[in-house]
Amino acid sequence: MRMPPSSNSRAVLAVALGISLAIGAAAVQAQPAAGGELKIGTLLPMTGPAAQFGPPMAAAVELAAKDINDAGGVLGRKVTLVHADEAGDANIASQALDRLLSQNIRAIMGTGSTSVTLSLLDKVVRARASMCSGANTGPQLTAYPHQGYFARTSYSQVLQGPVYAQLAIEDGHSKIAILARGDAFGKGLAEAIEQSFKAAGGEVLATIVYDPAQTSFDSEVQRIAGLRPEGVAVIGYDERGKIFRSMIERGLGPRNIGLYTTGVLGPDFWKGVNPADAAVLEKVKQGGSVLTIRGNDFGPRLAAHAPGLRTTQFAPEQYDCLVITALAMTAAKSTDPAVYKSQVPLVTKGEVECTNYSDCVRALASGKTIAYVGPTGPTRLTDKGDPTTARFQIYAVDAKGVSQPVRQVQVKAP
Amino acid sequence: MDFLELLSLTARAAVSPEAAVLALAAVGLNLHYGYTGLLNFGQAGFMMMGAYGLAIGVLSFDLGFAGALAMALAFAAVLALLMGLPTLRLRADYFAIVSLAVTESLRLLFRSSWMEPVTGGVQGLQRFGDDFFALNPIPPGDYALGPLHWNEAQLFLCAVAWATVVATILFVRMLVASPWGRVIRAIRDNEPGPTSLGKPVFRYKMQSLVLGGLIGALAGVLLALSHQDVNPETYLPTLTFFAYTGLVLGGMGKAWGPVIGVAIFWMIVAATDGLLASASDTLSWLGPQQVSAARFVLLGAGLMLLVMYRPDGLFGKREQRRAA
Amino acid sequence: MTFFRLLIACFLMGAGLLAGAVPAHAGTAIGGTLRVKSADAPAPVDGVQLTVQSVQTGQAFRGRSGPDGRFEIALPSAGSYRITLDASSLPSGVLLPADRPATLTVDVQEGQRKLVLYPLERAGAVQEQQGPSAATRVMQVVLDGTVFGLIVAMAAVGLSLIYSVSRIINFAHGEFMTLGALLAFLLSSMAGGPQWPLIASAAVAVLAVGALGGALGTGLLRPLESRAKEHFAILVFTIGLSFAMRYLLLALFESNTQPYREYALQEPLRFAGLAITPRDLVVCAIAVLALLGLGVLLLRTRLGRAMRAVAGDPGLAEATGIDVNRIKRDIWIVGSALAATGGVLMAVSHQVRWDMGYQTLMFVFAAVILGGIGTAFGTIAGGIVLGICMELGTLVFPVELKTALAMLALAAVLLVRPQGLFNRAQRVG
Repeated sequence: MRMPPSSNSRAVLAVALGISLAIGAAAVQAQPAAGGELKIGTLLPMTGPAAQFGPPMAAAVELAAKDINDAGGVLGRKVTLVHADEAGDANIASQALDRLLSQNIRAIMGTGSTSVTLSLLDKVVRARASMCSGANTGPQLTAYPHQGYFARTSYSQVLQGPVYAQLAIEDGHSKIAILARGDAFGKGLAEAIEQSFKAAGGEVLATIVYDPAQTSFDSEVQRIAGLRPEGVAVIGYDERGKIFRSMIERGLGPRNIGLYTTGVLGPDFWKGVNPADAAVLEKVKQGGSVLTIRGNDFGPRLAAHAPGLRTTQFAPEQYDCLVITALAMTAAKSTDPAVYKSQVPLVTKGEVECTNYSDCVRALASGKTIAYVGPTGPTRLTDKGDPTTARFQIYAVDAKGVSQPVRQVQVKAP
Repeated sequence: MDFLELLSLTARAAVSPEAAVLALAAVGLNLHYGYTGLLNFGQAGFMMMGAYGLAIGVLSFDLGFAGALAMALAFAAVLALLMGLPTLRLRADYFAIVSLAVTESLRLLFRSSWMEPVTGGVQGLQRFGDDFFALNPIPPGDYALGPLHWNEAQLFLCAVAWATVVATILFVRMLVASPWGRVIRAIRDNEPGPTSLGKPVFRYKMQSLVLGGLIGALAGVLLALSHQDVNPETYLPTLTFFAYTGLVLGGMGKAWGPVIGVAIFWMIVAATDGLLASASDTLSWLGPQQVSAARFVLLGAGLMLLVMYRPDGLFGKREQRRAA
Repeated sequence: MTFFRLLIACFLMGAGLLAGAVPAHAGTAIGGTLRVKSADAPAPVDGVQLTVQSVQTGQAFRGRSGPDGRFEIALPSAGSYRITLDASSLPSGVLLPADRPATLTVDVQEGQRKLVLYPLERAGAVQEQQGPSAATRVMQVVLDGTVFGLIVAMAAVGLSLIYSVSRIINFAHGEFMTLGALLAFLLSSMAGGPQWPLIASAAVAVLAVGALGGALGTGLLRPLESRAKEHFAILVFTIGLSFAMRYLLLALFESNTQPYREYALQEPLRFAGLAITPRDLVVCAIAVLALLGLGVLLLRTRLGRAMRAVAGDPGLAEATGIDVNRIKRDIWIVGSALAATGGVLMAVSHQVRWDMGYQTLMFVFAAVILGGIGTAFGTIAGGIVLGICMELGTLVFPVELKTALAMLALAAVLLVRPQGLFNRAQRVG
């Protein structure tokens, strides 16, 4: 029979832990009161499956913080950002959230995917912190009892589906196929597109859902090719480069059929399909984030702040998240989420429409209620923190491989 | 973040519910491999069974917390039987791969559209822990211990989680010291031995598999409660590997090994995050994605160094045993 | 004069009718274009009657398709509407297929011109020929599975060789694959890099990774082997190594998936209703050649015989004068080089990504076990069988269960034949 390791070692560990706690306690007493600056956290997918959205969302938050500080900050306090990586993993994200919460950061920008938010939301609500995401599109967040501590500026998949269906009909296609990534985002959107296209009289030849961990898509593409669709909707992340290549090789390229995909393809995306031909994806249509609205120059400003972003998807939405949160704090005259959370939807649907932070603050100062309309367009959040209006930009890839805006579509929630 | 903040962050990680969950999973693995020599690569699957058992019990069958907990344990026991009956006669390496294959297939099945009505598919299940949190005797508020502070729900969860860990370890210790435990360890060290003495080796191995699996299920239940969310992507083989890492760091075949090893591991996870966050100004020439990646590089390097210099766990001395 | 006034009155009435057709709420409408498939381009269908009824109010509106096939029915507000095509108003020879509904229910937003479609056909139109026959589909799937299986086999056999001499399951094996693919990318395709041809870059990458593997095997792992009483610790070490390498590659390479500069987009070769790109064909050929080369090495050369001796019984091998340490190092080199080759081949076929090796690792393990631990040839066969079975499964089961089915199949095989498909039966209990 063995005994556990010598009690010496365990004693050492206990003592070390105790000392560090004691020092920490002393340190807490010694810290100065946090009057001057307002710390806001970001919890974004810098690594993991959604890693392509981390940099644009982070850049957008930084730009928003800069705009807010240029206009005098929030209630006179300068905004400083503390970044954390949710890594697309519930356990890592939980620990990262702990890091933010332990620094008394109660306003958090993030996350990058609905499933990560769902795994953290209980902790956020119990910590009475507020979270706003520009990228969570899953429908489960609407019914979640988050007591107003969560809001999102990203359009729901349910609103997005009909946009693609209508695009396909407009282009004259009556038979389509859908190839979707097998996660909450892909499956939800695939269902929404299928439902909408069928209701409008079209025929969905097949909806194929693939395993996100797959490396090869040839057999799925081959199966679709055998069905001879007039259009194909491809829903996925950066594995789409491989999928498009496989499709083009099997006669399902944009020169043969209509191709539709989600989000904004970055200016270098075509290199992932055929590095020798910039026009390889010409005419592929996308529905994604709006970058310019009524002369708001968000797109160029973002490019100036963070040149070389591979995509701008979700950037405008996350920008609006921070501005809306800051406005809610201003309207409620408090940085305590329990106090300002009720203002978050209210600052998006008041009387006076304003399109940037400083104009909005001025309107609030003169006692009016405001409706902030940022680069995403009017959101008009419900009390559950969901946008009732979503604005999409339809893009089409040009001969140089750059996604050019074609027109904007505004969709209201039913 | 200064050094003291880093220290408190690390300390907090060591006592977090996630650490308790991983420690519990590692205790189960300790029983499997440390004491019985069963190389189980599917512990994440047992955790998943526990988590989904709880969630499905509450959401689909309207059970209270106790009933759902029983369901969770039942799910895990069934998995252990299904996995063990055909395969426990195989060599250790084969059992490892079969356990990995079976649990991965189960996970993918739970994620599929076919099982979506029950398991929630890719979206998973949420909001099934209210009965559990209703049992919380701690009044609402913020509770501080030095620089660490928790709200009443987090404190309750932490307390229950660590109490479970301690209770389970004491139980395992008692088990291992008993005659049953002696046979188990004899099987690990020299399987023909007990067989020649007429002991039904297969039955003992199965019992160990089931017990270790139930412990894993408890870990899964706690993980599910801590997030009020179950999702198939949480129960990847990586989770099992993390548990084994904790086990190795703390020393295999030692009763308290899992706790110490997992605490160390989770502290490294937190410390690498904190270190890089505080250095991010100096590292501003790196993109934000690279800073985050660097954190995981440090984690991997840290593990390698620890194993290199302390290959038998952090506390060195242990009893002699032949390699499995 | 009266006649003239009558004419003007008619004209005004007509204009009034048209004016009445102007939408009450600008833009809200249901519209579309009616076309029928014909020999070349779809032809517009004129004069078809359509009725729209509001679900909320029951109010009805009518419209017809114009000479260009377009129709647009203005609506007073947003809401749910039912649109019905009056089949009797279709011109002769044009019909709506029996399985397509004549009535559709759609939601229309404020200011939206909601499009609907009716896929009209000519009566007696020849049905479009069906897709590929079942036999063709099966063969195509087998072909795709073989390509994937060969690549996995390349990676797997390296792992199997290393395991057979050192009893170490190298969790970082996937990273060797990725490293091989990435180095080749760096040398051949990266902007600002030397832009060498792919073959040369691949060769250099494979040699480099082989050398790295040899150094790792001897420098890091052998001392660890002797120090660690717990063999499992080495496994954890390789897990840590896998983490460190993978995220280092992410930091250096970033998260996007990229193809090599050469052979990126190709017209597939078609024969017997099957399609395969020249790229994939070459990948298969190289894999087969490499594996044959390995076979020759193991069976016919002295080095190979020594390797097999050490794998079988190191003590005995040493006793016969074989320098066991040197052979172990050589196996690490060969095994890692094979992994790198597998990585390059996979990247040619499926592009480069920082975690491509890690994603394949599960299949690699499966191939090794399926074929039988410790036999190189069994592993090769196991990889191919795995690839084919996985793809065959998708003919019956949903695609998203592909990996799950592979895993279950593996478990099933092991239950029946625990030593693997191609291993000799040995005591495994």
